[in-house]
Amino acid sequence: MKQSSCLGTAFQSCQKVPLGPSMYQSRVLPQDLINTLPEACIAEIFRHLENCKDRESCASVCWRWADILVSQRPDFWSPFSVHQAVHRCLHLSDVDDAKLVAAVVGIHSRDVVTDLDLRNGPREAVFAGAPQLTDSAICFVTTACRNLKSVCLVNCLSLTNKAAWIIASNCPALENLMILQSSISDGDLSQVAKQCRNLKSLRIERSLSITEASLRALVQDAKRLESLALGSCPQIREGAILSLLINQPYLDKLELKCMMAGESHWIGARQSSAPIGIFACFASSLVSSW
Amino acid sequence: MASPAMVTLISSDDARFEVTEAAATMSQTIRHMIEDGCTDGGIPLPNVPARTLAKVLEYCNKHAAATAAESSAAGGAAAGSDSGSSSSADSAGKDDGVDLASFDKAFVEVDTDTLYDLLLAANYLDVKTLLDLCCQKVADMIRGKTPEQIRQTFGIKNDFSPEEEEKIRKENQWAFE
Repeated sequence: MKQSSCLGTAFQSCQKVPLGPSMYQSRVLPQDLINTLPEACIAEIFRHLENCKDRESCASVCWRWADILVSQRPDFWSPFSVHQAVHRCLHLSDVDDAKLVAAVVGIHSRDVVTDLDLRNGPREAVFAGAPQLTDSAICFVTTACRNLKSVCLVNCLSLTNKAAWIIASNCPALENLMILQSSISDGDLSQVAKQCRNLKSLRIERSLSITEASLRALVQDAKRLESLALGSCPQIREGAILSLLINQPYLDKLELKCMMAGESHWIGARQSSAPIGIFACFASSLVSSW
Repeated sequence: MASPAMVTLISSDDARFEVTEAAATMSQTIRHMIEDGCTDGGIPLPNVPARTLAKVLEYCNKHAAATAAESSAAGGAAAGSDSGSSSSADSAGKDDGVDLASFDKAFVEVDTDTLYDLLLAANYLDVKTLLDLCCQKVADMIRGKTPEQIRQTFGIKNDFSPEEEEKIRKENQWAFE
């Protein structure tokens, strides 16, 4: 055939000329050529992975792959994967970015997830270079699961103040926030109070940077707050707590733990609707525990 | 039989390829261009270099020829009255199928650079079966591996630990200069 011989010679002559990515081969570094492909092509490759396990592994490879995978709708893959159990909770321990991202990609009905719980064992410090949970992963999970109502972060030392800010912006339905020994500052908490209008329950422990400004923000914006627990927040004094109690009509549970220099633990439930009752109860309890 | 309609394709580096319309229109992109009548003086394909286009056309020629053989065999079988000729046409069709499968398998036995180039071209030219073939090949390289093994296979940097990435970037600063 005429055209095939023409093709043959054209192909042979072209083979002599090094073209395209082969120019990179002389470099010592292994080149990440697959990520020079456009997103559509990489998604197309992922479509050929029938096994969910493989897709989760791919999500843990790098951020770009994770983003591509999470942006595909479940029907991108063939119907066999649709009939999966519906998970409302995403609870992970000893979690790092790669692990969290894989777990999120593995969930098919992400809109149904309402409960996020990430906790690490007690640690003193974060080692540089070790796998860790960063703000980017919090952004990833809160963007993918838009209907979170409860978020709990325990011992997530590698998160910065930005994490709470991200949660505030991405979780408008948030009702319950628990941040234990993880970073949060006044700015973030006031953002949470402003943006999460349904916030009912808040627990913050071991935060050195939370001050009375946070309580003022709660009084001003978190009108539906029913339960507040503070532990080891040394910058908050009782005066500010009392003023919160007076100004928060819905608040009916307050828990204080190790707040002052001395060890103390105090839990109070509102007995009557009159704020003054709490005031008295609170004051006497402080006296009795000291 | 009249000689088949031919079209000229022009690669990004100005190489010209003359192919049958049947082979060229395996590409939906080219099919649309022909339908729109933009074929005068050749069809420019600014995203595909000659080296890749030659490979893609090798695939298209093979598959277009196989499809033509299949349809003519089917036509022959329909026309033939005795069962003997029909069964022989069937077996010929089956041989073609096996032949095509082994052609496909050998076709993607290439280095990864070429594979990505083919994948990219198949995506741009919209040759569905070739795109599937290339994607399947890459997916086979992923299947059953741990994330770290996948990174090693493809030379992908783990960017989940920011400090580490920064360190690598510093160490390899020369490569980016």
